[in-house]
Amino acid sequence: LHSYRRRTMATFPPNRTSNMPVPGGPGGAPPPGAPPGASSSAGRDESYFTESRKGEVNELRMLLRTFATERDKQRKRDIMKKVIAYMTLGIDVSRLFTEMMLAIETRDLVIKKMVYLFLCNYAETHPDLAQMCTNTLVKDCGNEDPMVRGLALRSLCSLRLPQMIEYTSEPLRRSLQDGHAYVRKTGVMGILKMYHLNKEEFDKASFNDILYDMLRDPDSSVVTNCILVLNEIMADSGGMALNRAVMLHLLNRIHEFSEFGILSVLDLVPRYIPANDDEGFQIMNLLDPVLRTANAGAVVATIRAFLSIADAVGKRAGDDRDEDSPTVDDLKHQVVVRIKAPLVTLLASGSSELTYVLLKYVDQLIDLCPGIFDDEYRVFYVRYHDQSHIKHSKVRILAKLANPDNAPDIVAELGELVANVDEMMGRIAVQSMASIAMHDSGGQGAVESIARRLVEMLDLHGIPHISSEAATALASLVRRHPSIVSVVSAPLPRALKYISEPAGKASVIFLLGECGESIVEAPYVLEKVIDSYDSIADAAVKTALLGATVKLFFYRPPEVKNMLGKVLKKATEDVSSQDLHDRALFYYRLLRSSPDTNIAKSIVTSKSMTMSTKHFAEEDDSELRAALMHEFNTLCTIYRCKAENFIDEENIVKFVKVPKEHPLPREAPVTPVTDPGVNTNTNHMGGVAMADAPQQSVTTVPSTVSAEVDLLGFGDDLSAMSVPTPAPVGPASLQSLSLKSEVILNGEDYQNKWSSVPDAEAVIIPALAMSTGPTSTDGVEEPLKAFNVFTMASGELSTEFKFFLYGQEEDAYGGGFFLIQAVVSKAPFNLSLTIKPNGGDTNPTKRKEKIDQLVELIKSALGEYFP
Amino acid sequence: MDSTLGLGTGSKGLSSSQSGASDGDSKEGSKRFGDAPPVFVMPDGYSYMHVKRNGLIFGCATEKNVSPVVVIELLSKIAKVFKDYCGTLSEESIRKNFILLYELLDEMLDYGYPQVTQTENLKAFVYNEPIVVAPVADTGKMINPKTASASAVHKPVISSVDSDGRKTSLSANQKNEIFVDILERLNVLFSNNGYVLNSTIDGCIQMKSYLAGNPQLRLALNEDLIVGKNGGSSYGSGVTVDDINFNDCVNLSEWEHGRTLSFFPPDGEFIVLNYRM
Repeated sequence: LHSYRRRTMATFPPNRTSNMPVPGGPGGAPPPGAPPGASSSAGRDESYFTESRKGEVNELRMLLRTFATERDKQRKRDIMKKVIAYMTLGIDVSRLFTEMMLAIETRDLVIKKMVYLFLCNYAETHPDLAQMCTNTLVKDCGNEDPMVRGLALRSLCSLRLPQMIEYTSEPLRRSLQDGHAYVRKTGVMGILKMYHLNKEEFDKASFNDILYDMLRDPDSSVVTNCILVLNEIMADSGGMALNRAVMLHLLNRIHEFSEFGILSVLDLVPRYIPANDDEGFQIMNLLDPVLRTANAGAVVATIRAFLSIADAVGKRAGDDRDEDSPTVDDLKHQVVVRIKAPLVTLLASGSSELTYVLLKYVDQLIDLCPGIFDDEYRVFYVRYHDQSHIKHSKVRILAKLANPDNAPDIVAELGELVANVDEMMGRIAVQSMASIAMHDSGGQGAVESIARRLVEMLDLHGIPHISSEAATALASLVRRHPSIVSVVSAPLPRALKYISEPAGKASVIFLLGECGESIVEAPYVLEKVIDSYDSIADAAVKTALLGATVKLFFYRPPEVKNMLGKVLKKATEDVSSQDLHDRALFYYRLLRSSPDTNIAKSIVTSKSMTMSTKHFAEEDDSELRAALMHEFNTLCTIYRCKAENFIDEENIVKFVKVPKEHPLPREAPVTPVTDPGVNTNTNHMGGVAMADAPQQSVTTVPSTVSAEVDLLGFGDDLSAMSVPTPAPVGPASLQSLSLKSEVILNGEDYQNKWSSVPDAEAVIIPALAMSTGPTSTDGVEEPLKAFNVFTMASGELSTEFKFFLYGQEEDAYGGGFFLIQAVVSKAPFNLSLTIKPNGGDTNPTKRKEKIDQLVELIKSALGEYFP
Repeated sequence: MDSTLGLGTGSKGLSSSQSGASDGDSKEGSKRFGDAPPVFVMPDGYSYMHVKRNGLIFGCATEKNVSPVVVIELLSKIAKVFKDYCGTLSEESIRKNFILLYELLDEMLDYGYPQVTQTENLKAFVYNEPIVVAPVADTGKMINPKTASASAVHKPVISSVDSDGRKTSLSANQKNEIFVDILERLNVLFSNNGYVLNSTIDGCIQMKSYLAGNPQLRLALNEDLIVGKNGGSSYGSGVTVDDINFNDCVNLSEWEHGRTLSFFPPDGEFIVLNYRM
């Protein structure tokens, strides 16, 4: 083969590129032995994915050495492409690392991207070599072209080298203030990569506050990434901290988001509890236009949001609300009615994959609100070209849609499907039919007509699985509707002869016992089975045989007496099944010890097998269904099982609603959620386009929140703070806050107390501008100590001072702790505070008041640094 | 691969393979169990999701509890963007344009999260040029010679090089054209005695735009179009559709009164609206 290839090379000199045969034409790789189109040349037409041999990597190395001297841009690119092609095929080309890195300094973005791709792919296995190119990457992060900045930053964060953290955090921090949205959003994603690489370093860098701050970014793609990153970083506490200001801010901007970006906001809504009923309805109205879009992901996310709002604002039993306010169930019903049409349209117009997934969603919604989808039953008719899994889902759903009006149609349709070549499909059709009868959802006469159909199926010898399935269905049906015995009994003796499947056979034998009174030949057909007892392999069949024989004995003792003796002997000696053995012994003792046969008779032939409810106990899955509704719009919906059954524990994200103590009391006046008109010509990705971030102002912010929205500090805090206060305020002048002059708290306690307060309850005061700053940590600690605010730990970093402070109220005032994390950043000087109250007053307004005063206290203590 | 991604292994996990390559064994398997559903979980704890387009499978794996609808939509979107940029979607076009596709994937997904997913917005980030591959099969003769279906063109949305390496400039010999296709799927089910059991129409208006400069377009539909069953009590007066949904880019401000849509057509292929009757 090798020599053959040489010959090929001779025939096609490297520079002759046109009219080359295209190897691996449509639909496949070249047949083995065909001349490989890819010679070692840098010719440009050949396929990049032909077989390779040892030595090719060396040839590539030779080519790469010519790279620097090569003038033609296209040929340069082709050399790179070859390397990447080999990498894609899984050939280890990491030996070329050094050569590749020489090419990193280039103005051609196509080549740059390829080199970065190579770098990210092999950095993990060659950390030393990768470290050498860090300088170039860091330098590129400061390039004038935002594309290059973004690209370099993304690659830098994707190297997956923990030792690189020190190089990455600086460019990362700078990128968050970049003028271009593309760089900012890449930076935000970079934070997440850093988080997974090294959690300690990440905690030190305290990116969280910056991310919360960036939720106000004018560009929606940056906001989307912030939400995604915060959700993943704070997965332990259920996702990003959420309050009314944040939620309304995001909802009012929802029309700016891209088709996938909008999902990040919609997914937050179910975690938010509306401040009052009106706000809940306003949010629903605001989101309603989303249902008109063709984006199935957004539509189902909206459905989930609606259902969750219905949960929050609906009236429950024992609620003291107005008589006429709608209940939770009413509201959910209304929601499902509203979303029916859009969902069915998506179902009908989507790809087959989407149809499959949406069918599962519809299935769950039918369980939630039965009856609503009934009139659309034709949509769920099976189509010829549907894939089998779609057909199966549809047939299962059809059974749930039956009502007295449409049941004849549905049963007829199911009847057509029974003889389908797809065996599974036939079985499901029979089960669905039986389920309509079991639930009595078909109205008058439906049960009997279905029973007749099933009886007909018993005789379908040609399709053994169907007759077996029909027998099983009839066995259940007889227990639910004993009246159909007369319909069922006639064909049983002959059915026994040709039903071979154990489940079906057991069912027929069971039925023979049940209908023994009316079937003359019942004892004789059973006798034949008993004679061949030893050849029966399946325990279920044997058990059914035993049960049926005992039953029959009480109806017709003289004929059955001998048989019963035989079967009892066989079964008590049978050790293959414990259950069967015990049962046989039980019957034997019952018959022997019973003084009066009537007692034994009443036990054996009692109608206790007849059931009065619609479900068998094991079919009642209401608990599971309720659990699944909690996880609507996740994989749980598809698999119909809870997340902990198939998701690794570490990957389960708890679902945590925002705390009940809402920033607003129920009676508070509602700020309108303005409807910006979703879907009115949204040039979605405008922000990501090349222009620098547009300085559009957010005008739709709710009015209670001041224009300078501080998303996590509640609006009132800020307005309180902007009021100029008389300069140094001593502790004495504070009415409701008084701090102890001596507090005992060790580091571990501090840690525990800090983490016991959820981040959502923390009050964050960002970036108070300072005129000058402290020169050392003492410059802050000493003045604060005078005001009874003590320091647990502090430190100086290159860009900022960090303090972990605490104070405790006098016992008379509640004795609560305040834990404070203060960051004084150096350029420009400003002070950020994160305050967590622990213990003390539980009244939210009181507590807030105290925190306000604490902030004032800190400000006045550090008065020398403030203008 | 990094196990912490939102969408499993994200871009690098995306694989394409030829579905026609199933051998005798797997055919046997598919007869008994049917086709693999688009979403399934394996004992290793990973859920696998895929969509099939033009005989190619676009798949991904995840170990998180994601929304399956979103993943399916995303995979469909990736397939669509590939098609827009390569002109055709086939195994060969993927082989030839792998660098371009790497570039697209890198911009569409970051750490498993979707970023820029719209064809025209991606243009700003993509520097490679597609290599055009001749379509596999001819689309057949048109019934009306004056019209051509959108499927007759296999042009990528950005300037490309042809297989000879010559660059075809988009601006120079680009026809300013847009294709409007109305696709309807009629579902009619007859019983064996000729009685119509069920009939529905699923339709959509699909466009493929090669217009320079994204001008605003207006699309006027029948003014007597009625949406929803309850709205059209007087039969025969107008066209009634059960339900209708629109692309994100459509401005609906004139919809209620004049039944007119206005929009800036995104590049490449897109569906303006879906309807059902």
